Amino acid sequence: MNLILLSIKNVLAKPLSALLSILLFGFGVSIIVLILLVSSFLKSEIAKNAQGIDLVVGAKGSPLQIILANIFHIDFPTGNIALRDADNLTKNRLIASAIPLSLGDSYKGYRIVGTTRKYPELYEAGLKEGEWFEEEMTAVIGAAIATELQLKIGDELESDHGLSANIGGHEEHPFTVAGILSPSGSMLDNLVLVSVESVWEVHSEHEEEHKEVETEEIIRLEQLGLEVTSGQLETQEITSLLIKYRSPMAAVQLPRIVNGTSNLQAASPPYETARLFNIIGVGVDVVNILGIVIVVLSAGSVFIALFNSLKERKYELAIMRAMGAGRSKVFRLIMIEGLVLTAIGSLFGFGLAHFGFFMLSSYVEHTQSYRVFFVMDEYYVMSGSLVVGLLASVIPALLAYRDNISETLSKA
Amino acid sequence: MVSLSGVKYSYGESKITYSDWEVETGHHSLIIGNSGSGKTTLLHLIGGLMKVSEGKLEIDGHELKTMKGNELDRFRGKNIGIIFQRPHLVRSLTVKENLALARTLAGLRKDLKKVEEALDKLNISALSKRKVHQLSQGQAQRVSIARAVISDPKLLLADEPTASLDDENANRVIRLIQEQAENSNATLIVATHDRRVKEKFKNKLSL
Repeated sequence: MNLILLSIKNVLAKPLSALLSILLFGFGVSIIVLILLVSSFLKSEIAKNAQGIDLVVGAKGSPLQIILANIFHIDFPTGNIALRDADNLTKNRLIASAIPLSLGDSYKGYRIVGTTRKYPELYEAGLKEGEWFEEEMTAVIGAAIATELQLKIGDELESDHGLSANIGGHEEHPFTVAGILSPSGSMLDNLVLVSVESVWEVHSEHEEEHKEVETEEIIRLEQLGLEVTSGQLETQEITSLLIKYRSPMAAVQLPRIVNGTSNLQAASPPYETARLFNIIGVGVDVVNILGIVIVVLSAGSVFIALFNSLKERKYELAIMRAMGAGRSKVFRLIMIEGLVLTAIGSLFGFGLAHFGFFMLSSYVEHTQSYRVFFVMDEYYVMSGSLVVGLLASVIPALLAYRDNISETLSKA
Repeated sequence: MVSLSGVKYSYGESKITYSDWEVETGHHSLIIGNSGSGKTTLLHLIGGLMKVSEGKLEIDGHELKTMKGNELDRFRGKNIGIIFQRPHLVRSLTVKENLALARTLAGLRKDLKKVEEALDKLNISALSKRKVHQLSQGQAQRVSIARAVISDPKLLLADEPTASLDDENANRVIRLIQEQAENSNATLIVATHDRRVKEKFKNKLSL
């Protein structure tokens, strides 16, 4: 009969009090771990989606809104900027590359993004099937949309005006699905990609009909990867530019230049996401403190459980001593009992947190594929919870260690 | 096996002085006296559960006073079996596991065959898988006797084993303990205030 087995049997001999300690401990741990998982998941998602983008330039407005709308595609755009202004800006030598985005329409709640091939290249996204979008009303859809809406190559999408479904819009200008992206785990999974020209065409047919007869000079906007007529250059608009700097110097100078241009607003992804995390951070801290309070309370319940069972088992332990168990053995026995309770509680908590995170992530992302997500900090939580377990057990264990067995036994 | 010379034990203000006493190896002896006369204290001194304040107490040639904590625990586990007034078995374990635990705590092999033999000798084989709370008081006492002899101690101590029993059962328990002591060639010392037990022992120490 070894000590660990005996500890486990002792714990199991009091199933209800063990269950209470385990549940309390588990809930406390699971809150802390869940917060940890969600916040590191968000951070890694943000990092993944903001990769290769040094600066976003959009219409004047909130820089945080520009980031949310143009990188994460969750908020509404601040408005449009003139193609002329965008073209002028991209001629600046501080800019290595610029990707145009044209937002505003959606298909069944999924955003339609007018852009160039450089946008999917930014996320190293490849095609699962079909071909890339061309100028004429063809679209490439994200992997999640394809599975969710059961779309295949050749299907027609009628875009809705605005970013929510069923507002009604452009029935006479459907897009044809030309390709489907491979799943990338980035925002692209939930986007419909079309060319900037297609977006213009959807929106400007009536005003521009008369222009089609004119033969105009085609101007190539090298940096933006667009070819437009001089008329288009003067009248058309896009929503934003995703910019990559040529040198670190640009980080200092470029935002100032952009903000000095009357209609443009620069937004730096790292700065704005840090700001966003500061805002969310308060809430995260509150929930974290709640988790820690529950863990401390449950440590109290482990302490009381051990303490009570110790009172009941005083004679038992004294007799074990009489049968040859040294003081340190009795000490270890009680410590292991405390550790068994907290270890099971903590495992339960970790299981619960990961299950909760799985439910959350499969609800939020439209994909069913769950990527096992484990962060380094969880090791700290795990060892921290075991330390709490040790602290809760040490006083009962010391009492058992110091018991005067002769006195205890003669009172029996 | 046991030798007392000039043993005194003091706790707080009071002090008990014991007369010198020798117990030969293999002999069965009795410590008899009224409640409060220091029988249990003497038994605990002999069993190494506490240490003498003055004088010399030797068990099998070893002076207990000189042993350190862990050393004493180990010595006791190997050489001394104690039957307490009340059984106090480990409640989370079965009868069989209680006996096995006694052997491992004494630093011996678990030896389930030995456990079964001990249960058999005390006619409680049928109880081996029972939990402690499923035993009657008499059954629990038998298990506690089995537990005391399972490690083949050289010295077997019993503290008031007949205190709450009727005549018939008192006789039976004393006979049982004596048998068990003989079976494992142990020297037996019983501490009691029970006059019924008196005539069953030759070597007596009256307190």
